[in-house]
Order: sequence, then C-alpha cells, then structure tokens
Amino acid sequence: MRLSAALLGSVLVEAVDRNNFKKCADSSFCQRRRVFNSDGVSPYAVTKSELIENDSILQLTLEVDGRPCLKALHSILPVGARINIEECEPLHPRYDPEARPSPEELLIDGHAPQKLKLDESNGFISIQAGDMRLKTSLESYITEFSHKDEVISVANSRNLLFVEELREKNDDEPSWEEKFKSHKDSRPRGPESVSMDVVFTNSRNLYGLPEHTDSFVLANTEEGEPYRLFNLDVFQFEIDERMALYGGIPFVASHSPERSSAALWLNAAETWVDIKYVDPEASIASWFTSGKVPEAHTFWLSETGKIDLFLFPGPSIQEVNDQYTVLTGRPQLPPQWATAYHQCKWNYRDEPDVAEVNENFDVHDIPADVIWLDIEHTDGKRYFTWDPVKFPTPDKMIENVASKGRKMVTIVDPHIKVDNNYYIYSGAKEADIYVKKPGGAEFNGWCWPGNSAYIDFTDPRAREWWAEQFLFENYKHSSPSLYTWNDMNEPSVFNGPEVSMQRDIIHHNGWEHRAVHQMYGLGVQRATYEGQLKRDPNSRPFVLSRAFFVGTQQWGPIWTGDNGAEWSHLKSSIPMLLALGVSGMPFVGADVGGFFGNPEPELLWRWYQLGAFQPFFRAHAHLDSKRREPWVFEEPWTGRMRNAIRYRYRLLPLWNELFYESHKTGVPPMRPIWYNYPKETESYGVEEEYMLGDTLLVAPVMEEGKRDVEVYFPGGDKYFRLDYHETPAYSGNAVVSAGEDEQIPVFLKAGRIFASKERIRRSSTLMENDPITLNIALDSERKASGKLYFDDQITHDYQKGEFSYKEVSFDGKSLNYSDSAQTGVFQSEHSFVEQIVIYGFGSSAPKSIQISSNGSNWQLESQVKGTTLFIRKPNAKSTGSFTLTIE
Amino acid sequence: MKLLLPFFTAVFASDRIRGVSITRQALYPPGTHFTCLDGSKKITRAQVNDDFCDCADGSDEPGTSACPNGRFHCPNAGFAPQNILNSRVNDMICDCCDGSDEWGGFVDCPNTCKEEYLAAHAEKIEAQKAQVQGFEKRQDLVDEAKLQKISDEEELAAAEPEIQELQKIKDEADKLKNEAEELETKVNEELEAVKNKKIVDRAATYSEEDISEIAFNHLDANKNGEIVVYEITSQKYLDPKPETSSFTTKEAKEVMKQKDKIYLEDFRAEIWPEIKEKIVAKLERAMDEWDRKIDEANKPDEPKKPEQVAEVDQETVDYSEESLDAMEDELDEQEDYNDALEPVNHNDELSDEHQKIFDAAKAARKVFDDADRDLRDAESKISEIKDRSKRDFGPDDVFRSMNKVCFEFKTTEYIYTLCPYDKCEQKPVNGGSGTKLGSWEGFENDFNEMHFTNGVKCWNGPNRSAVIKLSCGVDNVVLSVTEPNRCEYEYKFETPAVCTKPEPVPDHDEL
Repeated sequence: MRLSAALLGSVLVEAVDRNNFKKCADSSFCQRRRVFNSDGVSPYAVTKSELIENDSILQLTLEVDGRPCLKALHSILPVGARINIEECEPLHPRYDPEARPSPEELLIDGHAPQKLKLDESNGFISIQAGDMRLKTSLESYITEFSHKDEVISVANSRNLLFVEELREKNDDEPSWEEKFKSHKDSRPRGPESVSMDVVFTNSRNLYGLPEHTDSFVLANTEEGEPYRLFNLDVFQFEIDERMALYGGIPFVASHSPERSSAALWLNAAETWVDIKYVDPEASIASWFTSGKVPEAHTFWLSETGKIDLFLFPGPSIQEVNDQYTVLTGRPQLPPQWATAYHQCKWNYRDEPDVAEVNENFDVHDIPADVIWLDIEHTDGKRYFTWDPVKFPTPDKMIENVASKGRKMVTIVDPHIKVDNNYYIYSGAKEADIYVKKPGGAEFNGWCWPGNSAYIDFTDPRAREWWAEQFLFENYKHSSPSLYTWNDMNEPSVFNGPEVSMQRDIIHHNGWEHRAVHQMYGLGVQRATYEGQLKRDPNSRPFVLSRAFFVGTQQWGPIWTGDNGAEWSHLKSSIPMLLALGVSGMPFVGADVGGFFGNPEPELLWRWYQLGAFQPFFRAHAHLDSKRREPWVFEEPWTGRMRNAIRYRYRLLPLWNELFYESHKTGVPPMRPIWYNYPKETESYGVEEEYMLGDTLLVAPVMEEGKRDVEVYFPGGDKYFRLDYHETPAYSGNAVVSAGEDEQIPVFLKAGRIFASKERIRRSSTLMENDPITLNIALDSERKASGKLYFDDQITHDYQKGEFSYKEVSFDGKSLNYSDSAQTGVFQSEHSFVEQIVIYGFGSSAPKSIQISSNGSNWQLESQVKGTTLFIRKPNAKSTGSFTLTIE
Repeated sequence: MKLLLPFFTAVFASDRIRGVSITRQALYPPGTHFTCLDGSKKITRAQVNDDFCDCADGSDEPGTSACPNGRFHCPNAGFAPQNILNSRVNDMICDCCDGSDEWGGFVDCPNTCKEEYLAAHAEKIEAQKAQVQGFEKRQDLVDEAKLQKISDEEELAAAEPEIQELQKIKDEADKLKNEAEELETKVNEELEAVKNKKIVDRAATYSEEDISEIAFNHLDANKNGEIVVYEITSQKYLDPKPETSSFTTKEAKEVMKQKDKIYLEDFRAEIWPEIKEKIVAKLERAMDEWDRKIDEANKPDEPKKPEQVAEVDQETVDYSEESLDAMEDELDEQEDYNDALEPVNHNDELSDEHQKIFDAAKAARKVFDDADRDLRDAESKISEIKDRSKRDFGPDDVFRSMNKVCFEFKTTEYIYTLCPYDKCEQKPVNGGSGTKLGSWEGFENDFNEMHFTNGVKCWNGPNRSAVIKLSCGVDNVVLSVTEPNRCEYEYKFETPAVCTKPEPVPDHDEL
C-alpha cells in the first residue's frame, strides 16, 4: 500500500526521496566489499579435499595467506549444482536459511545431494552425477559448472570470493558500528559480509533479480549502482531504477540462443548484485571453455550469512523454471476467482459504499469477482477487527457481495497496535512471539496504528499462532467468502532506518534482523495462507503479499506495490512482471490505474486493457485519489473499460490452463517472447509486447493519444488477431490499429488452440456451467494443438486427481479432443463446447463436418467469415472426448 | 447422439417463445424459418432459442444466454414484467420474481412476485402519498414565499420615507449632542487649567535641582537610574511632532539628544530645560512620591535617601528580548494610567452648574446613539430585503423559506449542517470547532442540486466542497451525508420544494 511519508510528507511531491534509502556508498559493507570492478586478489588454493555424507558431498578446504580458512561443500542435486562456503572455524555460527531442520523450509524438493563420481587429475578435482559436473581448480579455487560436458557457468572465476572473518569486537575498528541518517546499527558481531562472482559463459543476456524498475534485460552496472535486494517500503518509487523495492529474489537467469541457465544466491540478508557483459575478446573463463565466447559476469555481495549458491543447467528456460520451482516450491494453483478482476481502493468507506460499488458493477454490466477493504475498515488499525461505525454488520455486507458469486478481501498487516485491550496484541504478547530489542524487551515501531509491535514470522510458533487467528471463530465476522491481503510486510517501520526494522533487532533463536530481513514478508504470507487452510482445509487460500522472497510463489500472488498514475508506470509493469515470471514468481500484477495520483480516463482505459492480460488483475488507488471505478468517467469511457475487463473474463479458460501449467512446472503465464522463441535474438530485449503461454501475443498501446501500435511478430510465425476475420494473418512487423472501439491488440499464434467463454456473467463463479468455444489457428501445415484444464475451480480436490486435462489437436482434417496422458478424472455436468472457431481455414466452406462422440455421429453446420471457419454447436461435453472430421 | 442438457426439452416446452413478452410473440410467427429481427439472416425455426447465437442482433436467443447483446423478458405474473440482460439467464442467481430466468435448473427460484408486488405496492402508495403531501407543502411554501415577497416589497416601499425620517432625527440629535459637548469641553478645559496651575505652582515650590530630579524619576519608569527610549515614547506629550500620530523611536531620540541612555546629570543639563514646560503639569504623582520618600528618609530609624530606594543593581538588568517586551508592557500600563489621569476627575469639586453640563452632554450622546442605531437597523433591514430580492429562490420562489435556515444531520462522529444560501459545516459530536465544508455557490441541475464550494482546504488536498442532492419529501430532512471523493461531500436532502405535481392516481394499479 503506502508508507509513512504519506502521513509525514506531501503527496504532491512526485518523486521518491532518494536520501531515505541507501546507495552502495551508504552501506558500509557494500562500499567496502564491492570489488566487482577491481581484479581479484590472490586466489584461494584447495589444500584438502574429501568426500563426505556417503560420497554425496565434496568438502574442500580453501586457504590463502592473510584470509580465513574456508570450507566449501560441493554437491550435485537432481535440479542443479550447489556450492556452500563458510569459514572453517567461525567464531559464531552464520545464519543459514536452509539449515535442516530449516527455519523456513525454503527448499522443497530436489535438494538431496546425489552420489558423486570423483575425478582428480591434472590439478583439478571434479564431481559428477548424471549429466552435471562441478570441476574445480586446486591451484586457484575456481569451479566450473557443466552439463553434458558443456560449460555453463563458473563460480569464483574472477577470484572475488571473500568471507569477512568473524572476530571479537575491536574498538579501534571503524567499521564495527554503522550509522545511516539518525539511525545507529550497533552491529554487535561486526563486519561479516560474504561475496563471490559467477560468470555465465556464452551469454549476453541476463534476466531476473526482481524487484526493480530497470530494463527487463539486466543492465551493466559497472558505471552505476548495483542491483540492490533489500525489501523496503519505498514511497513513490520511480522508473529505470536499481534501487531496492518491496521484494527480492536473488535469482538470475542467463539466456543465449544455445542455452538458458540460472543461478540462485540463497541468502536472506541485504544483497547487492553487479552485472557486466564481456565481449569474447575479453572473456576470462575461456581457459575453461573451448574458445572465446561472450560472457555475463555477476558479483554477489551479502551483508551476512553463508554463501549458498545453486546453479541450474536448463538447458531451456522452461527447464530452468522447472528446476528452480522443484527446489523452492511450485507456484500455488490459485482459486479461479482470484484470476478474475479485483476492485480495490484505499478505502471503501463503509458498508453502503461497498454495497453501492458492488451494485454498480451490475448496473453497468461489468464483471468483477472481488471487492477489497484497505486499512480503514478496521477499528483503529487493529487488524482482525471492524470499525464499529463504518462496518457495523460485516456479515451482511460480505453476504451481499457473495450473493453475486463474489468474494471480499480484508487487509491484515504484521504490525500490531500496542494496546493491552486489543486481543491480538495481548495474545501475541502472552505467546511471546514479538520481535525483540537487543536487550530482550519488546520492539516497538511506528506504523499505521501508531506505536506497534511486530510479530516474529521467522518463528514457527508465531506462524502457528497467527494461523489460528484466521479460524472463523477467532476472526470475527470472517466468512468463507473473505480472504486476505498482507501489506507492509517488508516490514515497514515508519520510524526505522530506510522505513524498516533496525538490523540489530532480535528474532527467533537469537538471529539478528539483518540475517532474516528478506524472509520476513514470506513468513507473514505463509502463516496467513496456513491460517486459511486451518479454517477451511479444502479451499484454496488466497493471500496477496507485497514483500516477497524465494518461495513466495507457493503462498500466493504479489503486486508491484505503490506505483503511480503515469504512462511510464503503465509501461514499466511489463518488464517488472516479466522479471518476476522468469524468476519463478508467476502470479503477479501491478495496480491498474496507478496507486498514486489521478489517471486521465485514457490512461485508465489503456491500463485496464493491459491489466486484463497480466496475471494478477486488480485496480487500486490511494486514499487521496479521486474515485475511478470503471463507470466514474461515464461514456464513452465506461464502455471502453467494460470491454477491456470483459476480455479478461472471456479468456479465463486460457488463464486456468496457464496457471495450472505454472503450478505443475513453474513456467509463468506471462512470458517474454524469447521464452517461446529461444533462438530469436532480436526478441531478447523486447519489453513492449509479450506472450501468454505459447498461445497469445499481447501488444498493448502504452502512449497517450496513440491509436495504433507497431507489432513485432516473432519467428516468422503467422499470428491471427482475435476476432478480426477479414484481416489476413500477420508476420514480421506490422502496424496494427488500436482505436477507441477496439480491444487491445491480441494475436493467436498459428498452430495453437485455446478455449474461451463467450458468455460474460457478473462474476467468474457464475460462469462455471457455461459452454466453451474452441479457438484454433492453423499453421502453414494446417495443424494446431493445445491443452485445456478443468477442475472445480476452488478446492484442493484436483490434488486427489479430480481434474480434467485435455489435449486438443487438429491435423488439417480431424480435430481430436481427448484426455491428455496427465489427466485426472473430473466431469463438468453442464459445460459443453458450443462453438469451434478456426482461424486461417480459408474462404471456402467445407463439404461436411462430422462429429463422433461416445459412439454417435452427427453432422455439424458451419459458416465462413473471411478466412475463419465457425463450426456451430458441437455440443460435446467440455470434459468429454470427441473427434471431428472436416471434409 | 446423447444430448447433454435440460436445455432442449425446456426450449420446446411450449409454443410461446421463452424470454419474449406476449406483445412481441408475434415477431416469432410459427413456420419453418425465422428471420433475424434485423433482417440480417434467415435461420430455421428450430434454431430459435436453441442456446446458440445465430443472429447478430441476438434476436434468435431471447430465452437463453447465448447471445451477448440480448434481453430476456420475465413475465413476472402478478407483478411488473421485466427485461433483464440475457447474460443473467441461468447464471444461478434468481433475477426475475417468477424465477423464469433460471429455467435451467441450476438453482431453485421460488416465485416471489406476490410478495414483491405487495411490497412495491405499499412502497408506491407511500411514495404517492408522500408526493401528494409534499406537493401540497410545496404549494404552502410557494404561497408563503408570495406573501413574504409582497411583505418585502411593502416594507421596501415604506422604507424610503422612514429612513428619511430617521435620518432627520439623527441629524437633529447630532446637532444637540455637538452643542452639549462643546460646553462640556469648555468646562473640562477650564477645570484642567485650574488643576494644572495648581501643579505648576506646587512645582515652583521645589528647588530647580529637586524638581528636575522629580521629573527624571517620573520618566525613569523602572527606577533603574537611567532613561531609555521606551521610557520617553510612553510619554506622548513629549512627542516633538505631536501632529504625527505615533511617537517614534527616532523622535524620542531627538528628545534624548541622540543618546541611548540618559542619566540624571545629563538630564538636568540638557533635557530638562527643553521639556520643562511640557512635563511639569504631569508631575503631581511624582511630587507626592518625592515628598513621601523625603518623609520616610526623615524618620529617625530609617535614614535612607530617596535615590537609594530606587537603586537597581545594574548587573541584574536583563536586556533580553523578553524582558524588553515585558518592560514595554509595563510602560504601556503606566501610560494608560497617565492617560487616565488626563481627563481630570472632577467629581469631588464639581459645581452643580458643571454637573448639569456634563449630564446634559451624556444625555445628548445617548439620544444621538439611539437615533444612529435606529437608522442603521432600518438600513440593514432594507439591505437584507434588497439582497433577498436579488436572490434566486428557484421556480415559484419555492426555496425562499430556506434562506438562512439550517438543517442538521447527525452521525455518531459528526453533526453536519446545511444552511442553504449560506454554508455547510461539519462539527464533531463531542464538541470542538466546526469545519466549513463550503460556502453557498448556487443551484445546479435545474434546481435539483445545491452547490457549496471553497470550504476549508484539506491537508494535501483541495478545498472542501459539498453537493446537496434534493429529492421530494414531506419535510425538509437531510437523509445522508457521504464523502464520495476525499473532501467532496454529498448530502441527500428531502424537501417538499422539489415535489412535482403528482399524476392523478389511477383507479387501476398498473404495477
């Protein structure tokens, strides 16, 4: 949502206050240890090696004069390689988010080290399992990661490995304590940063490292600031910045025509990442590889913790996302209503206001699935309570909204008003689950309610306690139609350094905040998710979070925080969401309309058009913003926005399929073009258009006054604009109209099939029984294929096999609609296929169309418009099987 | 072939085309074919309501949700028929009171037409009653406005001679007052002169050295042995340029011979001779003080000199801004005291003759003040009437009765006031000052909205404003106050003023 400055400063100031946030030079360890642009120091030598843990881990001892002895653990996992490094004999333990039993259980699967084949010769020591190998030079500790003998990446290639030796306090050492503005960090353990470089060989393009507003392709940082990962509540953030934002995933994907691969630097402390692209002539890892190749250098620097590096081999980006989400958890399969349209505002004032907004959607024939309540719904910012004056009868209010198949969401933040008469405050105090000051006293900071305590979500007991609060009997007036939004979970502390928590604050097991900062928000969302499961085990939870980290994808969506009502922010939503998608975080969105300020109706309309084609589709606005529900600007704007929102509902069956695919394999619904065209180098920097799955190409208008858009159609493939039957298929480059009466330009890739629902109801749940339309685009061989996913849309029964996964293929003559090999068993009683639309069929009508289903055959009628064939009423069940023959 | 749905059986259940009103049934004549109502296409009769959209205008699917742009007709027998969006057919929500929209059987829709009819009928009767009553009241308002207008006009017509008369009275009283005051002034001056002479004579009894010190003490208000600018400026009679209204520091410096501080010696030598004439009549109190101190000093046990009493430790003198301010305040007080002395209090020595003159002046002043007030009252009343005559009170002057009248709406937090032609305010229920939501701007939307603008500015936002939406009602009542946008308030206000003439109630209720 927003931040202290909303209270303290002027909203009219339309820029982030950079002085509130650290640059590398303001952070002592970054300033001290950012050695990316310098040459490495004398390298560590491997002085000892042994296989441990049943020959599954290679332990190396690394030594060099003047620096601490290091212990490196090398292993090969089913999903990639892992390198852990820490001191041989640390003065005290370093935080490891993955020490088992893990405090956070960040690694889900695929992390078991495999039995290793060891090879030691010619000054190198190698371990191999399956196709993957880690080969280390004994003379200078440099480790190459290869897959099927092809070198992918090299760790410590530039000898930038550095672990600051933990030591007793030395009062003469100036770097012991640290000040930022008026805040002092006592830093009782002194400097303790860790750093290393990773070079991707044969790579010119890196992606990932969300969340930043810089270009989608990660920029060369030599000249400027590194990418900063440190979850912060940044007031009025700006575009084209590498400043830290609300969430961070220390994950980089490399892509080249030959291969995709990736690295995860699993560290929950503040992390800075430098990027540099190196021409083949200047490549340094080439002594490992067979020739001079372009390289992408990365340098990772964290304030504390251990080095825990995961290298994923790919070789496709789909496999990279699969490997990463096997390791860190598969994305949640959202309840289908969560993939529809959300209406939010800070704040819907009271119950009549909610009723009116709810009613207005029906009056204006605009579908909506969720109405949201921001902080003002509470009794004095006490979460889990209701303002007794403005929301005296929440049950009735929620029931009224739910009567149209809709849901409601209330905000529940992790800061708790200090008030002994507030049951949450006193309950959590009694349970002793607040974060503590160094002396052991309860930590208090300022947030929305004023003086607040912060629940320690890194403590499993705290998460358990928190989850209990969501039981229907505990959260008064909650209902099965009420879900949750966790905001301010970076955590935001108005009077803390950089609007967050002091780093010497103490968490569970005595860990300092600096060690766990990046995981705090994850814990909030996870505990809330678990609370919803507790109250109703078979319903899919829905929890929106602002902060995120590795693994957030399991617990629900995130949004990009407090953007502005500006064209530049509309445009920036694409690279921001694409970066999240390739980093394993698929269910993401940006506030439609822009949170701060007042969009002109044209901007709002264009934002609705684009938002309808992004995974999480929610309109939201600041307290001081004027009302801007889609009907506020009246006609012709209402009609334009209505069309945009209805387009989302029409394509919900496609979203179902994409989210399911994401849940099963980690691939994002919203993809950069190169995701589907890995060899198409001209697509590597494209961030003005993108694809949904491998099916639709989306080319929005993001400039004021423009009524057309230049579209690049990749791969020489033909693309059909949806609903434009008289227009020939596009390929190459073309200018496409996007006028006031038109939808956002969206194109169906030749060779693909997807399902739509053409009957738009008041909410998505009311469309459950409705028939589907099959949309088919023929490729040059008159072939096409696609997958369809059906389940009950809201429960976990699909996990018991109650789902239907269809494979649809057309071979030029026959359309085969049948179960895929991965299907479960699910019957939709009522939904049937009402129409089949075949783009690129040709202008002459077929002689006959025959359908066979369940042993019966019958003829179907059809009609040709332009070159599209419309087949009337197959009337076969959506979850059944049939064959259709066209002659 | 296995048919999947209940749809087919339902579609052909009767000859009547589902979703089409009786009057429009004729558009779907029996036969083998049907032509889309827009004429765009000819389809078989079986394709009507077969749950597939064939016609671009949606006319082939009036009874299903197949077409995106159609309307479904609910007969709602016993209540008002209704045309709903056909996307609401078979969507699991009962929209028609007869349940006809949910013929697919996904949900059970009980027939609620009778209940709804009764409720709506009762509501309609109420509304009609309210409209009739409201319109009657409106008539009253119009009549009252007419009377008011007439009375205003009469008052205005009568006002001119009345004001002339009052002016005449005032002028006469003014003349009498001036004459009486002239006498009074003369007497005052005489008495003043007598008094001054007494003081001057008494002063002459002191030695030059003593009287100059007495004058010094008089001027040295804080008795610290030195005279500074403030102590001079507080003595208005010392102003070398009395014609200028203020006695400035610069002018005081002139008196002080451009010195910052004057000590007694310098005073005697340089200042005293020049101001003696002006100051000597002011020294009565200072001479009393002098004499008292001399007496005290002469008492055997306390051989103190007057100077010692006035001595102030120089070190403790505080020249901070605050203390200078305080000093100034102190001097101001003394100045007031000095001024008060000037119109001499003659009471104890007034002769009867003098007393009469003073009484006469006082009486003349009162007569004048009364006359003046009467005239001003009459004028302001007239200007109010003139003001009113320029105001727009809407059709038939119906809003005239609301001029400067206030209405309230109470929530648990605030009391909202609405004062047409004046302002809107929001006051906290438990006391505290009100916040102005806007000043009268005028009517909008054909006298159905009142607008108030330019209220108190919101922090970080616009000036507050309020729109009052008027609806017909028997009484003037604020129904609700909301804030749809931040700092933009909306009142719902029921008033007979906007009631329109009710249609004659039909014998047959057409609900």
